[in-house]
Amino acid sequence: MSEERRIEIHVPALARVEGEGALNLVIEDGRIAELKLRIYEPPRLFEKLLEGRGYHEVADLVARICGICPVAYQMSAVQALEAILGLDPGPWVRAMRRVFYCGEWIESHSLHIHLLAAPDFFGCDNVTELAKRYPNEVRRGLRLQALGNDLIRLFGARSVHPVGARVGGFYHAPSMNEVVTLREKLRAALPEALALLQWTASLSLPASEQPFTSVALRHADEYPLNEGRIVSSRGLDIASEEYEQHFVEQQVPHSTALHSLLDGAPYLVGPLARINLNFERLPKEVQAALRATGITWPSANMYHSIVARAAEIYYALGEAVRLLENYSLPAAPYVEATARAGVGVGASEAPRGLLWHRYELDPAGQVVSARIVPPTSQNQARIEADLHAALMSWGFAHSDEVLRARSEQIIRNYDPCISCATHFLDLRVQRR
Amino acid sequence: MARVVIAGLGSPHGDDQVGWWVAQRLAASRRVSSSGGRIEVVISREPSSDLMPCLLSAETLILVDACMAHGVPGVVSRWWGLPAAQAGARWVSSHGATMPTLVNLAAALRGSLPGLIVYGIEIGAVCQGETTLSVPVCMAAQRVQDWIGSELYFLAS
Repeated sequence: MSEERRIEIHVPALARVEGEGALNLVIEDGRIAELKLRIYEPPRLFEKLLEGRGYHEVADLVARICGICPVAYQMSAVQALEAILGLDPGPWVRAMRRVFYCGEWIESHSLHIHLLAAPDFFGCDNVTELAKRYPNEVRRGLRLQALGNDLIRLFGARSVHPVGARVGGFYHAPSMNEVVTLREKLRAALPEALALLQWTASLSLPASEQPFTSVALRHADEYPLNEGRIVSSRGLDIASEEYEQHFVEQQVPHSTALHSLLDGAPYLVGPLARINLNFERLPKEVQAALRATGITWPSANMYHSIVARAAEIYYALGEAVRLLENYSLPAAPYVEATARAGVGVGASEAPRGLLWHRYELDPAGQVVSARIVPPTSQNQARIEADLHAALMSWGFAHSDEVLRARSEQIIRNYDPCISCATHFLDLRVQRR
Repeated sequence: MARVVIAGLGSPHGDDQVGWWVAQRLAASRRVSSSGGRIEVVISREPSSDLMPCLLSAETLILVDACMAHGVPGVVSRWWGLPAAQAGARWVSSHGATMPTLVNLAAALRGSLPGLIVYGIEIGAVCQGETTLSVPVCMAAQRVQDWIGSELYFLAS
């Protein structure tokens, strides 16, 4: 097979990713002439839909952005709104929000590992084929995913687009009996999560190191979920209020999602970036399990993201158990807010990475403007850079089918959630 | 897990609640309450998480759901087995986890295809906030309730 041939690979609909995207790849004379991760899912205009809505409606509305990571949208939103309203929900709400978020990490990561990513490593087209060869592993993944759903349901009343979160806390506090029952199920699943971590590390993961900038929240003494400063592997260390001074979103013609750049360059958000920047914030047993994989952390190999996801499932189970250990019913599961005008930001760690929100409220507490920067927007430029470097390094002496499969696998390493990312519409009006 | 699981799918809105309506009445029926646990009824609010445990362990899963296949509201379709369900219904899912996908995954995990019976009740437009079934859909729901009651005699006896 000649390196000089012209290869055109068009993947019209990427499989096993959330939402609708495509890949255009043109190779000429052994060089990549065109590489575009096309996101063509129609814009969803959520920021515009929020304008004019009361602050108390925002958490339920933004949950509709994603069926996989609705908790993340709710948590970043309430954090930003509470900053405007001058609200401190107190330690019970803070801890239970963390538990709520753990549920989403467990659910989303389990889904991605087993239903979306793992088939790639066994040459399977889908999870059904994988289940025929590894039924026990897939069953374990489904059990873990169900536990994540249970945890979201505990506070959110339902696991898809939950309705339990509100500005100031939760509408409802689960009963002691519900908490104890679920807590013991979570505790019993810890060995399964550890086994999953070991299993992902045993996969045949390609060696594909690339220099990239990791970006994540970093908290003074805990692994980041709902709070922290925004830091990078290149020394950035800012408050979430300073985000817009360093990160720039720009339109690209081939995508309905904006590309984010940090100081003009692509960067990575998500589980691998989080672990790269927060390894020592993990509990000792998770650190030990990660060291035992033989992988050097921090890692510059995106294929290690599947191991990072499994590690975060293990972490999130243990964290939820720890936080529910001394659960008590609060006098009230929320604090009341009083409307007032202002601007506030919120940043949290969605399963796929940093999720940044900014809201402006008027004196009646209605949304004047909203800005939402989801993790997949932030990873888009990095995905294209990764594809470019990885394919150039791997070479093109492969069949088109093999190149296509490899490209899709690289994209899936990022667990892109395209539906979340499509907030942008390039609307041009000509008036004559 | 029971030998037969009846799952009503839907939402709280208007005719879209017809699957829940049928399931709730079957759950209260004597045939189910006296089955000694051989028949279980699930009100499915989140099919992606509710249905997999049923598919993994039940001998037969009976699904009841509203459908929109350009027919007259109140028309009932019954599909049996996965191929028939695939041919007769266009399952829609935002993330690719359609009912045939779930059934195939369950079959791979348990080593055999679970029995699957799907009742689709044709509905018209659904308005959010409507709390009752329309007359033709309500009549169809009563018929489906009776038919499933008869099927249970053979499936779970």
